[in-house]
Amino acid sequence: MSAPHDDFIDGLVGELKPKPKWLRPISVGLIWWLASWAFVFGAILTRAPLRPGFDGQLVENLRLALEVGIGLGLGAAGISAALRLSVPDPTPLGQRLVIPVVLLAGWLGLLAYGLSDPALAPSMLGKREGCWVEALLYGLPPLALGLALLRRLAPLSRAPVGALLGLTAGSLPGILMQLACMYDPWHALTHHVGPMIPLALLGAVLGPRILRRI
Amino acid sequence: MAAYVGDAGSLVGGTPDRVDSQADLLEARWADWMARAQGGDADAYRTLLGELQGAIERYLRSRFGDADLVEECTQESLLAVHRARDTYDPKRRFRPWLFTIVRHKAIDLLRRRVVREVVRPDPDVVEAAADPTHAPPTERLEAARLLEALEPKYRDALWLTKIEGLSIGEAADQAGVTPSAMKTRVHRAIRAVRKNLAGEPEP
Repeated sequence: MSAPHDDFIDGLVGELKPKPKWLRPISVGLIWWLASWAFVFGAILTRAPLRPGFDGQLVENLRLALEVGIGLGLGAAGISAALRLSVPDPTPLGQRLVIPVVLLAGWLGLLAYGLSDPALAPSMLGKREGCWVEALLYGLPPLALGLALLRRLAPLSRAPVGALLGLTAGSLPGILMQLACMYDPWHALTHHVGPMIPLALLGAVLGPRILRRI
Repeated sequence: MAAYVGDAGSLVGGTPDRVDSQADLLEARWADWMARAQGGDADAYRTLLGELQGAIERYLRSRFGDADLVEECTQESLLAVHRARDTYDPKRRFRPWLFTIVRHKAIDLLRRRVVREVVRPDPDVVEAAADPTHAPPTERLEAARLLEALEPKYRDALWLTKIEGLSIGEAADQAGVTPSAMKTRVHRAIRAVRKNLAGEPEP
């Protein structure tokens, strides 16, 4: 080994620090999940209460419960895939995205089906003015937190990971709005789920800038 | 393990049986050193980086030959290993983690070099794209550009079979497809490279 190489390796060794105990994908995922839900839930409740009777509807209406359940699953699968994509691994990118994509398709499919056969009778009860702005704004802190956490890991495809993170962050307020705001599938698609698109685009733009290039 | 026996062969030499056991030993040793490095053991980390340096150099030289490229890519790969070190999970295998980083850096570097260098496309480079290990350096750069232009599934198919040197069955396992699907992908990838060279759009 030549001297310049020795110096190079010595330099890297000099920067060695013990790995923080919390820096494991499962811990990072859990931190993101809990902090993001706490924020989104708190923010939505701070502005206005959830729709009157939402709990009864959730228990009695299987389709509504399924819509919410799949949405929740999308959030979990999205952050899980983003974390897996942040650890070098030969598994193809597409294979990592299968579960979130299937859940997203299922969620959108259920809402789209609801256009012709809604899970609940569409109603203005609980309508929140500017709910799409809320859905957009409340997705920003989870996106920022996700980017900050994943910066500690090593995503190789930073734009797709950023986009996935944006989509996942946007799904949290999107799901909760299904219980906080008026129920109408078209309104849900445009005002609650729609903000996920700009958040995904923002994530795709910010990903390569914020996530570390290894 | 089979997917990385080729790398081990270039690292330790010997007969295939010996290569398998020695590759296992290397795997265990590197994983152990990295786990200790994650706990802050500087000596283990220095030893690991020293050994990885040689391994990465041999891996790249056997595939690219170009001394400058190998030198630059080895340093960048070590730096990437350093930056990503906290993501290694000691419960998992070390070599897939390591060589994913090395391949990523190699492609990244080749892409940047191709942007810098003007390489005139030549129909003879078709074979180089299909098997860059047998092509001279400039043609390899062109081959890398051609690989990059492919759809990911076709690029992966060529990479796994022609650069990693996996069999169709092994590549199919790794990509999660059937062997016949992998064979089709390789065939289509080579056809796409030919079309790209001829200035036609990808299928």
